[in-house]
Amino acid sequence: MKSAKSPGSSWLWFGAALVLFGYVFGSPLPASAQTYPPCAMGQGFNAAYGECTNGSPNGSFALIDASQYMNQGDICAAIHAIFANYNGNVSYGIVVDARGFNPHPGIPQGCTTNPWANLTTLPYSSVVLLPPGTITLSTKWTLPSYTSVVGQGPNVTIIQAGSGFSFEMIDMGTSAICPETFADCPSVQIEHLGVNGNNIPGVSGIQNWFSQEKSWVNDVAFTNLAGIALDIEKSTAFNSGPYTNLSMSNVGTCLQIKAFPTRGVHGLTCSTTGSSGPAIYLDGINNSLEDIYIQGGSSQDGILVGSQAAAGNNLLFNVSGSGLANVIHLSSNSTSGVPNVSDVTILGVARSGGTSTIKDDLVNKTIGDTTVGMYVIGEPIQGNNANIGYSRFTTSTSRNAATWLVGPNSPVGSGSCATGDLFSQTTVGTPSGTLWGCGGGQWFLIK
Amino acid sequence: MRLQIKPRSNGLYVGILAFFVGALSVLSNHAHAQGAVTGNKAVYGTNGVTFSKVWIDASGYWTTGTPDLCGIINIILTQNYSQYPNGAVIDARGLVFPGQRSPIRCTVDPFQGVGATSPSTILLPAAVIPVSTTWTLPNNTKIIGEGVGTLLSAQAQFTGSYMIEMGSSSSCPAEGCSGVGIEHLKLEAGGNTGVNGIHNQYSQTPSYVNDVILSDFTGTGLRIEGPGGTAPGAIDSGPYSNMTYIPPMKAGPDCNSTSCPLCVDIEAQTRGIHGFTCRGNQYTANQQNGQGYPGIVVNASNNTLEDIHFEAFWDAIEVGNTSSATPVSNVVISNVTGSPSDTESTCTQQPSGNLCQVHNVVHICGPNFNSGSGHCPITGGTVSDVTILQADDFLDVQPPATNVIQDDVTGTTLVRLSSTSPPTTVGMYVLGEALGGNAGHTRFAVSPAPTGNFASSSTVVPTWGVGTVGVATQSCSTPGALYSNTQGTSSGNAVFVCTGSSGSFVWQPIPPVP
Repeated sequence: MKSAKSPGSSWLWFGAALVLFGYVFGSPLPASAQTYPPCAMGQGFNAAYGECTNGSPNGSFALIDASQYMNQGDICAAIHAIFANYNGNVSYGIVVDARGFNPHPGIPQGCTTNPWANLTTLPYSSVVLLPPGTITLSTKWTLPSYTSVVGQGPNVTIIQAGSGFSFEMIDMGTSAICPETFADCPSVQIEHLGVNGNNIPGVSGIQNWFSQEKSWVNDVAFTNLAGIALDIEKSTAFNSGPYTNLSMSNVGTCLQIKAFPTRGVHGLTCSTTGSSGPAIYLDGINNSLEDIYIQGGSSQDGILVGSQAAAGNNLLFNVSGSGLANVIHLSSNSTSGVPNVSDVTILGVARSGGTSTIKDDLVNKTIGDTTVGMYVIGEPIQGNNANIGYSRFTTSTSRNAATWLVGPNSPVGSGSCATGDLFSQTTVGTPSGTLWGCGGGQWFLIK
Repeated sequence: MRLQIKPRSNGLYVGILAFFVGALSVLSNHAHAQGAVTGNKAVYGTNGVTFSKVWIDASGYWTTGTPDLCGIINIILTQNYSQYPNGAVIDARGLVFPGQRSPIRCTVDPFQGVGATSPSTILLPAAVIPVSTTWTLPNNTKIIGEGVGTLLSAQAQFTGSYMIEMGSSSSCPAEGCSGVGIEHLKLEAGGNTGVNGIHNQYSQTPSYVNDVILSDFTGTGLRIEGPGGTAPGAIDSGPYSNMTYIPPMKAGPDCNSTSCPLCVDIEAQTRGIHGFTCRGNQYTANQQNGQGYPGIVVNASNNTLEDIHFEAFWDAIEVGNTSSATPVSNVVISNVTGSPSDTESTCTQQPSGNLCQVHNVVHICGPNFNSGSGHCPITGGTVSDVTILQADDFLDVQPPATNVIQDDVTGTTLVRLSSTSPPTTVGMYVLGEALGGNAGHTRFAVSPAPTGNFASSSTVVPTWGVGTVGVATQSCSTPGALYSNTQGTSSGNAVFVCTGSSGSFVWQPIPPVP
């Protein structure tokens, strides 16, 4: 016997089905459906178990997963779309997780646009996590204020210049996008990344001309760059850095500093393709370069100081070079009649092969020692109100270096000496004496 | 007219309903993922969505209204953390909604009632977090923000002296906490004149602060304590790196006897300060009762200060501002610059055109002070073995005169020459130790004061020059200085000393003993 049918019950069943359809497929999943906090959900949100969805995962805005934006095109378009969606002028900042954006693992993925380009309101603050693999750039990235770009390692996440690329690959700020009075884009940070210029003529790596406080580059490998791997210039890069844990290979010039004081370069391994120009230009005041290794050609300088602009008061600490003409070269060039170089402290410099550890044009001195513990060139010394030399301390016993030696016994009989040296004798021997000088290549007793 | 829909059969609807009920049941089983607790991250497993304890998402605890970030973190740490015996990452970045600057509450110290517990790393959101009481970080706890967008703002009626304490007697082992870290965030005093920034008297190695801005403080930004009372001190803590301190500017209160902007106070041996911008204001650029206001005070041995820029403090760095009987020694200061303020417009209104310059870039405290340069507030301690490399009086203009080095141990002042000269730099100035009878000190310097870039009012600083010419009888200005002529062909033409009397000095060859 058939049961009686009723139109009302049919509607009930239909409605129930719709409700269930909406519950199962409607609320948690759609990218476009967006509720508001708490229990927020939106395209790219993470999911976490919470208390407001009855035990089911709900959305979390801990970060925005760029892999849910693959329909935007390439990775850069996805990042740009996320900025447009979530990081407008009423945002405090976001984390964009593009680590899962790798549509064809093992195959380079393209980036045809600058993710930070043409945003109506520049991102207030953003952290962008990049995926492993190679990202091929068609255009340079210009990073605005408060931007961190973080890869997964210098040999893991690599951005590479595409064919036809020119100029630098990354700008830390530009005069157009930096809003401060002096075109300053603070807090631009680049970490754990590889930068590959693909051996294209004219391509450089990272350029900082406009980012000051809290702007740095850390754990980045630069390769195959015909131009300058890292270029820090202008007064608007004042107080930037530190620049740490860098490696540069097959690059035209490793580093150029033509800036006001920075927070220094700490940890740099540099290998250039050049045959004549220096590996590192240091043409700014008050910088510390520490833990530097340079490999280059036999006619190259490792670090050339003061050839282009004032470069006073720099500290070079633990620098070693291989195969170079001069590991460190102090230029005698001047600006408006004032020597570019003064007050340079060199602590711990070494060479392997090559010609000299230090070439100092200020006093026309070349030191060929394989290691030099200390070489400090100070400021001009005057006689009759004219410059007669420079204040200088060195531990090198190289000829004409003029150093101060200490020993228990008389230096007489130890062979010829370097004119200008001093020797303190700490015990009374034969001949007796306490202070000796060297003149004409022979020790003479002063006191 | 009523729409007429004729179902083909109720059996069809029953089937549809059964399908959805079944689907819901399957999804629900996966969604509930037996064993999941609030905050677990959802991940896809072999049978669909399940849970992971890779981190705890604090947004799972946010059910209504404005989230209480601190309350939620405290609940996680005090009520549910036993499920994570090896520690966990607590991700609180989801407690804001994108693009809205939605507010956050913080009603308690997130770490109150948390003892020495499992390690935790807490990721804070980019948001204004209103802090009403001190956060006391327990053992092995790190808080990590998203950069300058993560702002901890002290509220009116803030309780406590510091916004953050790195450890405490109740949350650290007796030997001290370890692994306490603070990174990528900004602290703001919010107009509270009695609130200071970060205080470390319990956390030692490897505890650190990195990439932190200290803003709007009228007191101390960072204080690193030595041992005292039951506190073990912050010995070997650090490094303290990539930091910025900014006091209140135009509307800021004047300094008083108990509170004045101070970037860092170091009272313990540490792993150093590496990368710091320390800004003062129109008050700290001056002195009071002959005492200058410092940017950084170093009152403990074995510290390095590297890559630091100062603006608008009378003394950028003071070494040995203490009456302690324990000497302050082995302090290395490198690449430090002092300049006028580029942000404090009221400085242009100061008398004599004081542009909030740094008066003394490095001030070594001691008994032989120069009254015109100000003296350290406390001068009773002993300072020795201080190495200064690459100090720079940068962009300062005159008047008044400014100094790159003020050494009150030896009574030495290195005064900048003039406003038109290049920056007054000192490549190396090493103060060593006192001779017996206090007849002098070991010291090396490459600054040939009072010549070169140094004003004639500078103290004489003998140095050792090297050149290739004979200089016998030529005039000189630095009595006691040596000069080596590396081309000297005889003993009487190789080494010279600047000597003379009554203000008239000449280079004299140092002759051999007859």
